[in-house]
Amino acid sequence: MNTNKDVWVLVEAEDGKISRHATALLEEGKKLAAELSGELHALYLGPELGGIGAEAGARGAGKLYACIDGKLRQYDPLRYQQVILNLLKKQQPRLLLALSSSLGSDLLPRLAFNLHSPLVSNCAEIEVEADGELLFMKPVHKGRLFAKVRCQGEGIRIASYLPERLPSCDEAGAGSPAELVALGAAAEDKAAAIQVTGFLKADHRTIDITEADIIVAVGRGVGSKESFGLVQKLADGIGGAIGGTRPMVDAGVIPYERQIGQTGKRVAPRLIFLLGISGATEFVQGIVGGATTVAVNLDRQSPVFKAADLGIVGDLEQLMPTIVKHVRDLTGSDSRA
Amino acid sequence: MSGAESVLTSPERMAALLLLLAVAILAVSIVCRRVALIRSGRPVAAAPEGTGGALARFLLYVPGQWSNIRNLSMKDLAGIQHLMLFWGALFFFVYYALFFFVGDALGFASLLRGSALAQGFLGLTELFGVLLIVALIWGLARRTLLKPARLGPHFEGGLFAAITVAASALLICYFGLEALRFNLQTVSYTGPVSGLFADWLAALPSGTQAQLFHTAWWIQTAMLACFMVYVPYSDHQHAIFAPFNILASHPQPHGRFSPSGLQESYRGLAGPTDFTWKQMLEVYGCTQCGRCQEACPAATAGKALSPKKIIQHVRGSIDEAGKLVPFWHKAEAAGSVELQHRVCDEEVWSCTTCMACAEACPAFVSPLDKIVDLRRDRVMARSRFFPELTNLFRDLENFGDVFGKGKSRREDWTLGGDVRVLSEQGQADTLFWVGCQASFHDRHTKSAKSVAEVLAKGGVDMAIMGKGELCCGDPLRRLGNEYQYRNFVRKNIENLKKLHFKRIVTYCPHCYNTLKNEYPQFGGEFEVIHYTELLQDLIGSGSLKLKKQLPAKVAYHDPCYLARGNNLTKGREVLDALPGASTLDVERSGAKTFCCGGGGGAMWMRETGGAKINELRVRELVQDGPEVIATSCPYCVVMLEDGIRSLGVENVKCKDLIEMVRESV
Repeated sequence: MNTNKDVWVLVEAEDGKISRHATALLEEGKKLAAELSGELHALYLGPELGGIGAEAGARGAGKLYACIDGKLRQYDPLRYQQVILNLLKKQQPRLLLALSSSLGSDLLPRLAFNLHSPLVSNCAEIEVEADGELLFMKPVHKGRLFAKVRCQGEGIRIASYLPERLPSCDEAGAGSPAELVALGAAAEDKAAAIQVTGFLKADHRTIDITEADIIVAVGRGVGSKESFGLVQKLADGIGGAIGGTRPMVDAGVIPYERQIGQTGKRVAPRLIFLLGISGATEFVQGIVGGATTVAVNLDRQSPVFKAADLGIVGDLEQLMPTIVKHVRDLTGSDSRA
Repeated sequence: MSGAESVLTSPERMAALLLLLAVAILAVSIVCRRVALIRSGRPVAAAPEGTGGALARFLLYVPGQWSNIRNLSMKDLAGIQHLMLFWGALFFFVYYALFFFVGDALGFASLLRGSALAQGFLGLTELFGVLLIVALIWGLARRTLLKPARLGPHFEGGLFAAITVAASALLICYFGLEALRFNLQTVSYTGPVSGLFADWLAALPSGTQAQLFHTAWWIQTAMLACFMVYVPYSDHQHAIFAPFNILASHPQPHGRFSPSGLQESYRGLAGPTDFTWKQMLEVYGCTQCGRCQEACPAATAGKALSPKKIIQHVRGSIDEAGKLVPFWHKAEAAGSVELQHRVCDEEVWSCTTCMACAEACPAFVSPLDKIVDLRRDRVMARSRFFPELTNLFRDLENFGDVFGKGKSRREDWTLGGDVRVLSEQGQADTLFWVGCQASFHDRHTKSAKSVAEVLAKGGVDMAIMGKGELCCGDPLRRLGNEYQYRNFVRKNIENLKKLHFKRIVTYCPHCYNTLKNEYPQFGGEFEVIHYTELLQDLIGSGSLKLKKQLPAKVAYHDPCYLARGNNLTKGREVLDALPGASTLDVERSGAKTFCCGGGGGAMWMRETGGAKINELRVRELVQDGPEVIATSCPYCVVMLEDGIRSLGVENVKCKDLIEMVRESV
């Protein structure tokens, strides 16, 4: 029987540091490790990342297994697989956790297959039962039902966690940095079946708004088509996807696929601009996951300001050109970022 | 021997008799096959009703034709036409059964025609014959020239022209034959119309008249044979089935939806085997008059849904399964009896469950009942619904309310106020059922506070359920998610039964309707009132004094789930009691009110094309230039407010009635 109680978390980087979802996953791993009375360790593959040891340590990781290699800047399934497989076979943790990101969704099945280990994808919750076994909760049938999964057999359990189900966490306090365990890079194999040649960034103009990190949402207050042109410029400047309220869809300004709210889609961006939106409950309900919210509205009393991190009272017709100009100055151009 | 039998030869009488018998057997077999279909339907939980009530309803609506008289208006006089058709057809039915079949064909004419009673009856029949011709031409004109929208989109002008020609031929033969009987001296009297015919025909030599008699008599026999097959086979079968449907339709509040989803094996209306016998009887009782279509907000807005079309789809499915599709409809047959192929998604999901179709139907048919069962099939058996509903269902299942906020936040609106939460040990006179909208929605939490404040001022001993309250289940049932609906109802009844109170007062008409009409289906019998009822009592008894003047012209929008679903229009009386407020007449009000567009889960679904229902309603409400549109339903408030804004109507505000009362107290 696998007596190891350790929990490993595969962390992903974003903008030169551990991604915010990965930090939240570390917190989740810490909780589980404590309940299992084991230890939390982090696992990272990729280019040099400043302060990663300190951050992982502050989130409770005892060790950081890191394979630092500039060539791993982009995800390469076979090389990732090789490095991690060797390590897992040797260390046999109880649980390997990763995010249900494109990386996690691709890598974990490969690992599970090679290790003959059970894999639970897209978990919404993980509990430790009285007998020390893990109980995984995951939405099935497009989230209409929740399944409880208990794995059979021994050995490593592998699970991916839905990022939207992770609570956003505060700044970490000081903690001792994690002990760095360097891993050797996998040899490059020109004959490998999969060769990663590059990645294409999602086009913010065509991305599904439920997957967009940045959204510029428009409401009735945007008014004319001309101001909508400026909204498009702002969105292009910051790489945001355009969304909006039901009246804007009814007026034919944006297509239904971009409608946010009770009768449209539910979005979970990191940053959202609410332009000329009054903030009716029916709309606000469509934004989940604690996005940073910037609201611009004429009416000081508008309920939208209750939900905003930054509220600007003003006329969009006047403000938009200034905002667009600012963004252009900051990003250096108005090309698609 | 005198009498028709002296003109008609025995062989030809025998031939006619055999022909009519053969046709009658065919007609009866068609009716029997339909009856067998109806009898094969699933059982219905019978609502107890004395035979007296059923009989009174039958007399009022069948011979009394009350539906047609009740619905008369200057815009729509077709009720008179139907009245003429109904009574005319009835007289001729008796005439042909008695004087033609028994009299002419069997040879008892001289026996039957001798009495003064017969003479009186025949005279009256002639007058009805004239009315029938007028009604037939009127009907044809409506189908070919006037074309009122409710008869569309298929006016079937050709079919009705054929019917009119055939029926007119029948009637002219009838007048001619009655005249010839007198001229050929087989009877000693004429009626008011046949008298004229007799004068015209008297100029002909008697041999020609006798020949004419034979010809007309055979034309009449042939036409009769045609009608005997046509009626049970066609849309005019309602003449046979509608009276039975009326007899079987114990009236319930429109707001009480059928619990037929309760049978364990039932997952909604998927095909011909899923109908209850009552549903099939209703479908066969449908007259296709289109009053449902005229009243339906979705059809009015030009969306895909027409309640009349739903009944036609459904009937097509039953007919096809029973191999009873009339040959002139064969081309339209969809080829599949499964309703998921016959009724498209936009039709099923455009319905706002406003009950206007059921209310408008003169023959006690409820298209709504079928639509909800179709939704049950799509949700429970097929998972086929708009993806945005997944959010709603998930929120309800996981958090117990339509906003996905959770139990822990249900009492948040009371913060800073003085509202008591009823404990299991405590006792209260009135339990205030707040509902999801008033508990969580920014706009309506203010209304919840107003209700609490006003009731406190009126001296009502009131408490709320707090965290024990879940969604009442209204959107779930109306969206076809009967399975989850039942879970909610059971949990709520369980929680309510733990508490000690006398009555429940609700803020939302949807909660009111569900608790009052539908909870008893699951053993939850409570006294439930809407806050407008309570306010009216309090104002009437003087416990609540409305002091402050609110000078405003107000148009009151009756919420469907009060006015139509439960015949409750107390809101209007409360409004009348508000000092200074003057109430304007609204085009459609009371039980005929027009939907705001937000019911039946429409609040959580995309627009399905066509105009917006809330805009149509706002246009109607602002006709007389009100300053305030008042209503007493949270859905209506949101929809009408949005309509006012999107139409850009200036100087009109939408207010919840309770807001106005609180201002005035």
